[in-house]
Amino acid sequence: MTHTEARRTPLLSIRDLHVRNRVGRESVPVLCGVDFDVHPGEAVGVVGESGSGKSMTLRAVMGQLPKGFSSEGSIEFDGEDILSMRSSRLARFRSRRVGMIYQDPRAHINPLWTIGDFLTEAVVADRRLSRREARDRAGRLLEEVGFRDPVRQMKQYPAELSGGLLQRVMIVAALMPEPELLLADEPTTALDVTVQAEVMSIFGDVIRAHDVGLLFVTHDLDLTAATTDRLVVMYAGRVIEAGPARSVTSTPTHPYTSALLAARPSLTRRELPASIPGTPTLASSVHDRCSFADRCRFVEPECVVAEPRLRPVGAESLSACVRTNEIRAGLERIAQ
Amino acid sequence: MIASLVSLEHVTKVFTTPGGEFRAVDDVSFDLMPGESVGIVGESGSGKSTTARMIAGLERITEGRITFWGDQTRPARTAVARRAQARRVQMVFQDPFGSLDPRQKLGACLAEILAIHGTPAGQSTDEFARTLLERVGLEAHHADAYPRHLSGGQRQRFAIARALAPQPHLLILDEAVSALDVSVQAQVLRLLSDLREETQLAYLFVSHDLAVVRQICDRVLVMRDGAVVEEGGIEQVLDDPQAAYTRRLIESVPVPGWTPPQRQPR
Repeated sequence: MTHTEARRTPLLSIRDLHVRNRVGRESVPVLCGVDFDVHPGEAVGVVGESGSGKSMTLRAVMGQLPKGFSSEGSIEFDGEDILSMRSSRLARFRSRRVGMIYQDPRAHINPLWTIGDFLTEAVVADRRLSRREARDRAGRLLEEVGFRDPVRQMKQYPAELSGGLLQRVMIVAALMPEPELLLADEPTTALDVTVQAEVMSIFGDVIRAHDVGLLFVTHDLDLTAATTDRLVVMYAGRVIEAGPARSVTSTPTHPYTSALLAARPSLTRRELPASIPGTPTLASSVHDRCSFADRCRFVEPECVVAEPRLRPVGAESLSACVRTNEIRAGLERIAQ
Repeated sequence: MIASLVSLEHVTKVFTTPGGEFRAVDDVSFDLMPGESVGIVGESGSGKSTTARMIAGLERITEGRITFWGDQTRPARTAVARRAQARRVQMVFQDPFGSLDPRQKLGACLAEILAIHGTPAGQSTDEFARTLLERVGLEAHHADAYPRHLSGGQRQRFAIARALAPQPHLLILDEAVSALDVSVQAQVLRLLSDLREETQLAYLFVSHDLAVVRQICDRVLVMRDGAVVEEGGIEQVLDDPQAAYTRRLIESVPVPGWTPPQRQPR
């Protein structure tokens, strides 16, 4: 990110976001103080394992928390707080300003509608475009994501398309209302690896061509690093590290990030990956201590007296590890 | 010469669908030696799972034959034949939750299998059940737990323990670590590696994940559209791939510093 970009006002600004789930009489924390920004045209990856809170963060951004969940803090989009939007305003925000892409396209497309009807319905109903304009736009976008014969392919039904092609259709659907931000939740996890590579390449192309921001949620660090500018690493409902994508994956500043990098099996050598001892920590079980302390090989008494806050490390990164400067060399070695 | 544990000779599987015939597996031949770990990699529709299911006796073979220790496998029609088959080969699937009875305690699940297949000499059912749990990194007290009490990684460990109960010669793992978080996946990979050293069990490891296969397998077959496009030692195939498709598979895997290769129009 250049300095001019850094000074631009963020498009999306999440501040001290807390989400709690009511279970019986108890209120269980799910997200604890999530903080990060997405600037216009910037691609941000949110990485974490199951239960880290990455998908819940995305649902909060969409204003779609499940029943029984409550939130505190703020999620400002272009200066307006999504958490306090009334439902009509929220519907307008969802239909015009953000586009959502899910893991399983087949679960989010009507199998009885043609691709063309699916792509044009929302923008026409919203009176953004006439039917003809919508079809033209859909055709141009389909061409952009690699469909050779959009006019014919718009007459096809979802069942006639492979998972990879259908996910390209979902990217087009998300781009139809000319949104400023795309939200993607594990958009390539269900795809074959060669298809995933194609879809990721398309993602890169469209966000550049349309100058649209991207919030990309996934469990795959290397995949995200290839397509995003910045990474946010989540653990136990918290952000534990954030920084430029390449530096987070090459020189991590938090022991969890380096452990996660070391746990990936290598494609180029036979060496069993280092597992992380123990099981993932629940957001609700962290009290006045580092959330990763129980599983961390660098743990010291100073780690368990208070919960560390995210603080700057170097010019562009943030880390929630109090020992990050002392253990830097060790973290890099583990991550290799 | 050492006899093959499993031998596939010109095995073909044709599914008949309303739209016509579909050749899921097309003339596949290979041998699996006792104690060997062989990977089958490929994408959806490559026929890798169908091949594994035919070896496990879960799918009928259309053409060709599969032998275990030289004996031809036939569809198990009797209880005796099914039991014999269970002692030859066991299978672990991607989602253990779908294959565990939610109302059966883990100990009872193992006891049921051991009542049919017996235990090693000198061990009671309880003792061997405990041994199995401990071998996969679970604890004795888990015998009283239900599947819902386990985390995803623990459930997959238990699925492995259950597959080990009849003391099979071959364990087929069909995308068995694919749904696990990477930190948990590393634990299960370690377990599978340790198990093989202790038990001389043979693995057939079906996966789309080349990096995982590299850690577990000695040899690998690359399948596409029902056929084997490349076969060889794991280092040889991944470091010096001969088939264009294998190269494309390898280039598509996100590794540090990876950028997606240029796409092709459809």
